[in-house]
Amino acid sequence: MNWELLWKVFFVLVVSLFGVMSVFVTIFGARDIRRLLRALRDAGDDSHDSSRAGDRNERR
Amino acid sequence: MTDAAAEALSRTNFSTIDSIIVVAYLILSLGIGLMVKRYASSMTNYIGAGRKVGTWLGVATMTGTELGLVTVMYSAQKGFTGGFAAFHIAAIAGVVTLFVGLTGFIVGPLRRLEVLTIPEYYEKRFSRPIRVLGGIMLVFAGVLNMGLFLKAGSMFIVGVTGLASEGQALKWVMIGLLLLVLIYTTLGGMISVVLTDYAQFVLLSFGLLAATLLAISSLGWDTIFVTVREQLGDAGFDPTVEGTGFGWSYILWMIVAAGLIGSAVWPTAVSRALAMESERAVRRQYCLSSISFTVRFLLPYFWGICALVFLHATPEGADLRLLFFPPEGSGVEPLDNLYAMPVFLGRLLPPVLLGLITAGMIAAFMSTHDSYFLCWSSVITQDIVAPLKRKPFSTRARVNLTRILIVAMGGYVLYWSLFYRGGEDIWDYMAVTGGIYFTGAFVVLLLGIYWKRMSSLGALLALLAGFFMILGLEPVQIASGLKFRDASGEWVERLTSPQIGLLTVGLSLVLAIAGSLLRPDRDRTSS
Repeated sequence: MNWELLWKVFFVLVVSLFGVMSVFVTIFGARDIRRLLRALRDAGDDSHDSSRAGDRNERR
Repeated sequence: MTDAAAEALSRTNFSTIDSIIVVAYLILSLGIGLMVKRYASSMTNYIGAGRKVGTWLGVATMTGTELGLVTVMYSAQKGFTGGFAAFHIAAIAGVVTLFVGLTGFIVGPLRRLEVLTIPEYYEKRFSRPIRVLGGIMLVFAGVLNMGLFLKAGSMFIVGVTGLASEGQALKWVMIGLLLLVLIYTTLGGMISVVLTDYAQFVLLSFGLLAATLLAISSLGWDTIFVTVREQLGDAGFDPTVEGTGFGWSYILWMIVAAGLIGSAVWPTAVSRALAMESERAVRRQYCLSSISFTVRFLLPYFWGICALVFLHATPEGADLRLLFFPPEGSGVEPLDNLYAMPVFLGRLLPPVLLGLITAGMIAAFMSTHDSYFLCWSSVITQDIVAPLKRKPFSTRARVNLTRILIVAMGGYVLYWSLFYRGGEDIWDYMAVTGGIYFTGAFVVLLLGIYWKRMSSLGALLALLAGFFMILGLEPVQIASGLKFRDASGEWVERLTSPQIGLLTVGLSLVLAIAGSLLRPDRDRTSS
């Protein structure tokens, strides 16, 4: 098995894919941030947190 | 440190403009932390960003967490010592993460259950005592695991800026970085983590690519491969060669540790999955992240390889070669090879790009630390303290306790960075310490999700089996006689750390099945 050739191809392929993916993440990640902040703002403060697993368990 | 070493380490392109870039970036990060503080009013928001993270932001934040400065440092160290053969770890990480994304292996069912932490799953599936035990083991292993993060990250900073030549600089950089992370993490929780992860992704992904291309154009594509063959021979390319740090048992251990565990079981990665808006988004996130899970190892390995080539094949690196590879019999201690990559970058990159890369790396350092601090402290709050408390535990009290725990962990990390004296590669240290938790957790999650007859006793035994991994730590190996010097003074290992890791997974699996068959859970007919 030619490991040297394998790693050359692997390196070029992955770095190229990462370059393309970085552009997509940069553009669409900014859109997701706007959505996240809007959703958190809409949700408002929730003092009765539904995630309190310990309390849920106590009620069982 | 000798005068020659100090002089060699002080040579860097890092300049005033780079310092300004770094400070400006840090101020921006702290500003974001302050800005989103008002959203961190509930535990779901504080540790899970309200479960409203979209796919692309999820990819950025998962990459931001997993592409930490410590990852870059230990990976560069592996590339420096192992050459291109280390690439097999990157390939395994990418392929297994893609597998998890395509199948939803473990993370899909966890997201469906809407748990915030893995121990919370233990309680839903088994019992509260299993949740508490799982939480304790997770925190013990997790905190031990991040013990060397601070030191490795600080070594990058002092290496790239030329401060390594000054004796006390490392200690002060460690303290400064730690304070920065503690202030930042206690402010905004997961929301600020997610936002700065995005900024870090943008800065670092393009910085990584630019630095890589610059390294190739500076050293020469063919020269890199030829020099690695000259210095390391076949072992520099073939990971199956035994006795050179890798070999088949190492590859198998990496499939477990860097592959399955790194993507589907390790809590900081899973916490990102559990913060996603849907299971579909989780799976897409994993498919896309398979590229960044590969790159987070691949590019730092390549930088470590380039540092090796820089030392051996260029006149500019000749002074460093004597520091890292002093002539045999000279009695001179070689310089810690963790410094090789940052010192190389400090001499390769031009000003401004060096500042951007350093800012990105400090951001990566902060991202990893805040994620880990947040993860372990929230496990203590949610999975150990809350289940044991008899009185109601308010959201405000939980957030406050989590913040106090973060500060306490910061104190431990500083202590460990200053005093731990193991000689293993940082990556191997992390695989062993993490293994105390993940060997058992992997089996409990695997069988708990996919085998109906898995019982609480089986889960208990599987988790406890993880403690065998302590035998993989170098100081423990030496103390127990598993590692010793032979008559010629060479170190001999009766069992290597990867072999101990694989045996621990096997033991955990056997105990889980035996315990479940011996004592099934009475009240459970299906999972």
